[in-house]
Amino acid sequence: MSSKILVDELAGKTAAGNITVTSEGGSATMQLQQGLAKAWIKFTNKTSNIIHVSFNISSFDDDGTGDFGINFTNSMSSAEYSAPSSGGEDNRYTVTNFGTVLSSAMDGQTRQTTTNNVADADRSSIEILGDLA
Amino acid sequence: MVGIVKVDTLQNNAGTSSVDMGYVVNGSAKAWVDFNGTGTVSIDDSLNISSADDDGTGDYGFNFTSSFASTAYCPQATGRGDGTGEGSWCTSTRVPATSSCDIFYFSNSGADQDQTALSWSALGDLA
Repeated sequence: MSSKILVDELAGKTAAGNITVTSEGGSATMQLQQGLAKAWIKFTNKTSNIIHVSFNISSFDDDGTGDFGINFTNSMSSAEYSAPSSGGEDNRYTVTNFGTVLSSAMDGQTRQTTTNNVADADRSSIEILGDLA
Repeated sequence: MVGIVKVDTLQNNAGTSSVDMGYVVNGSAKAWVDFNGTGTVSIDDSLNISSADDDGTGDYGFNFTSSFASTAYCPQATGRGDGTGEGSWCTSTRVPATSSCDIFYFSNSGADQDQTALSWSALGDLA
């Protein structure tokens, strides 16, 4: 029989920010909150700036050709977070050169790898992993 | 006292949104790191990373505290820059082991290149 919990908020009992889940193989445990993506975005920064889909992103900045910024609705606890990303869907774009990285926002560039030029791109993706404030 | 709840589905009280626990467990990153790969390499923040190896220019390895169930996990990596403002983005994730993963960073010209900051994460099943 499947079970379901109706709930709006989950919090650890011993420490509110620490809920432990058991691994798929059953031999390890990990902290639930730590493994969850805290923000993510899929965006286009060409003629029109488009946030195709996002989570915990309040706004997107167009700072010039290929230069962009994303702003978080809820800030991270520090500027030390992991931001794996991928470039646009075609023409060998990439996301790199994260400039100003703050707890509340970060800047980056989309580049065209074969020319080494900063360039606007279609549908780049960024994921933010780390601790929320 | 530690509490354990065994559940298959989480749903908000309004009943408008729910998620199967399989998505919670399988959809969570099992390891990630924010890392400085220049000079004496250092981990700025991480999950499930016991240590990092400097194996040469642009060549790093991350060792896991808890191992993956197999080498069939999904790593992602981004070079955040070499500090000069030039493109330094090309990455490859290679030699995955259940207990560690090696990655390799190089410039757009193909030269090995250390990174001032890099991001790496992995999705998959822990042992």
